[in-house]
Amino acid sequence: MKLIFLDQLGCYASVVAAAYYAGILQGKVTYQEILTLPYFGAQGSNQPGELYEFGEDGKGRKLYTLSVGNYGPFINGVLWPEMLKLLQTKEQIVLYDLSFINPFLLNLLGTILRRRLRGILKLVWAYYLAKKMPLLVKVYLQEMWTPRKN
Amino acid sequence: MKIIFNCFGGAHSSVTAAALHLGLLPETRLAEPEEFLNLPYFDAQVGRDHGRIRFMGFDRWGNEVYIVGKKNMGFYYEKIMRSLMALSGGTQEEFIFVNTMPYVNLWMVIGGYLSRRLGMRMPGRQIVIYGTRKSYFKFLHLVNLLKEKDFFTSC
Repeated sequence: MKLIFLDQLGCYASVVAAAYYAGILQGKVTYQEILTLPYFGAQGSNQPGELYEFGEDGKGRKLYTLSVGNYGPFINGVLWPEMLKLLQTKEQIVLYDLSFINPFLLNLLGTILRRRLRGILKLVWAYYLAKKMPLLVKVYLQEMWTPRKN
Repeated sequence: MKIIFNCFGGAHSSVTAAALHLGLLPETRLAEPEEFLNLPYFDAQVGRDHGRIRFMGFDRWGNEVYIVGKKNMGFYYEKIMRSLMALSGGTQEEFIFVNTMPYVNLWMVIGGYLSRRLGMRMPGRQIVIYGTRKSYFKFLHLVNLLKEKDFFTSC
């Protein structure tokens, strides 16, 4: 089984959520901890379809993040379930769309600035997610998963 | 093999290209408006159908032909689907994605918007058929490019 976290650029909320899922982050976190996460703010080609292998969770399930632009709900809700009807899969994959967490303004800046001023943008994004993510994990994401406890 | 023709709404250009591939539309002349209207799914799908993969038929090589509306995802549709297929262990080689959007002209956009989005079949349908006829041989060219690929001859 593979878990794929989707967001607009595949390297912000999705990476933090994957880290929560893997148990790397727990409870309240600081922006410094978020900045040290692999692929956080990577923004490779800055285009949808960019796939990052995040690592594994405690049960050996592989975690990935995927950039999907603004199509997260469309892919998660319709496109992929439809494709599954035609596809003979060997492995089950579960998609988590986290596009709703990323703020519009930061997404816009990330897209417009691309790799320029990436350091500052990463910092702002990490600060925002450090404030928001613990609450979001508690309120919204508990239904999706139970974070692994050490 | 599964061939998926994709466009914005899955109502006009993908249906036309798929029909040309299946031999439902003539290759030697311009199709008449009635011939378009007799096609399955032509000017039929609406917003809630976006993303639904519709079966159009089997081609003469035995391949399954489908159409889908992918909104304005462009080439990212194929890229994202192939990424997910790779992760799920599915056989990517079985799928061919054909993006018909590059051959969609302004008439088709206007007609499609009037007919499908605003529900104005008159004059939307006439405009979209006019536009489809204008790009008809471009769609035919696209389909012929596909037929030249090796995978059909090996089937």
